[in-house]
Amino acid sequence: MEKTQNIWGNLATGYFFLAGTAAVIGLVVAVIDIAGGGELARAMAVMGGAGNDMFSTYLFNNFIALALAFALAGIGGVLLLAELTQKFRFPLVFTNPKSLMTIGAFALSGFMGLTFIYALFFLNIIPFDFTKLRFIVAVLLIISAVVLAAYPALEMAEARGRGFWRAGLVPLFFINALVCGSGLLMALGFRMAPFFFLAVLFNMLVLAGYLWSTELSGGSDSRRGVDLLLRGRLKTVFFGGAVLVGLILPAVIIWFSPVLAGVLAFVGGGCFRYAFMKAGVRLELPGERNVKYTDKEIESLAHSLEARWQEKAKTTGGN
Amino acid sequence: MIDLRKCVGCYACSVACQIENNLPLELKYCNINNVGPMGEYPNLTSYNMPLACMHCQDAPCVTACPTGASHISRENGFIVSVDEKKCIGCLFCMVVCPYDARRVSPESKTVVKCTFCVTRLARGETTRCTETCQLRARLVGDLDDPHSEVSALIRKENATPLHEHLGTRPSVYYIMP
Repeated sequence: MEKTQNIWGNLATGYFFLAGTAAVIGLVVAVIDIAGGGELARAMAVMGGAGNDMFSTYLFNNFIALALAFALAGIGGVLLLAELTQKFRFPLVFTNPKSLMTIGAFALSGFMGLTFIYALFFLNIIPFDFTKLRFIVAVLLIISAVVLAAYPALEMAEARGRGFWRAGLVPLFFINALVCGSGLLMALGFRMAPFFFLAVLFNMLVLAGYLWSTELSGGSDSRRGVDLLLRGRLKTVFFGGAVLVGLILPAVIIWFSPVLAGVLAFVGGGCFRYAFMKAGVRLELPGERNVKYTDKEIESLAHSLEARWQEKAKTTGGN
Repeated sequence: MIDLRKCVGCYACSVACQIENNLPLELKYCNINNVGPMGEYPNLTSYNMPLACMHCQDAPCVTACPTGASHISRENGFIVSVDEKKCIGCLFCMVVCPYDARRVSPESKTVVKCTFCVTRLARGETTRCTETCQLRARLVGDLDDPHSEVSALIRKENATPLHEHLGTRPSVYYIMP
């Protein structure tokens, strides 16, 4: 019987977490820009004086945010690569478009490429005044960001024997990525405290609803997952990391120190992903509860036995 | 098909499989779990449960695989196979398999599993585990042929696949004790 999910380790967890956070940062920047933020800043620049400074600040802040998103997605990609047991074959990951992992790999590559191009507008390397081109890149970035933020949950939901991951992880993961992403943006100086506060409250509600509904209506594997989080070996990282550090403290601190609140939300988001990844235990197989030794332990016992026989054969002269 | 009324848990199938596939000691395609004891004294029961790849007809591992390394080979029946040259070791197939049927080979560092002795089947032989089982607890046959021995036994003994509710349509059926 699986005590926790151990097939995908911390590297895969890190990838899902960083990719989701990066996606939301890119998403927020692009949405603000095409919702009128860019045009407003440009209009300020036309006015000159302080307006010019505001325009420069707008360009600089967005460039830094996109650079951070690019870096996080890149680090995530490296973690994913490190998780593979056959690293040099990684280009093969793009060869089966029916697989969600392939879709995710395309989303990550597309997101990184689009983030890079989009960031060039904010450096004025591609002129910021190319409004139509900027709009097209922003829309494509939003699409790739949504796919990148959503697909890990869909991928996990494919595990039919892991009921804890099966039901409605997409909104939960998305809202948590929103909390982490907006938290990091606040740490960078973006003024989005009310949005962040609402996202944290919504995350608390969705999380409670998810656990409550899974415990009530899920199968034995789903209930074991909930049990691991609430009462089992993951309770410290879940309550201490994901809930206290990631949600409760940021919701209180945000009115005093938005930067600290953002950083705490990011750390808590990592704990949340870790706990949820580990809690996805497989449906128990018949008799699995009785398995006392792992294959490795059996191998070790067999080698000890063989060594003992060899030793005995030597002392008895092979008789 | 596996008749759990006959299996005594001797591990002969498991060891024969390791020999057939030249597997290291710690790597097994076929595990045997002991179920029970169940019931209340003195009416207790216990049985052995051989577990390996179920060669699901709606295999989640095949859908999940990003490289097409996990695929269904139809030449010798409906067999779920792994092309080791295409496997990148993302372990997605291991995560989605509800039967814990897949392992990472310590030698090739790719995912490996029961091959259903596809080369033996191609030669007209049966699987090694079936051949080895002295108690005839294992039987290989054509599920699509309603007149095959295995189809008849499934009907007669009301054999069922494991975790049928997951919808993976396993090709391995168990006659429960």
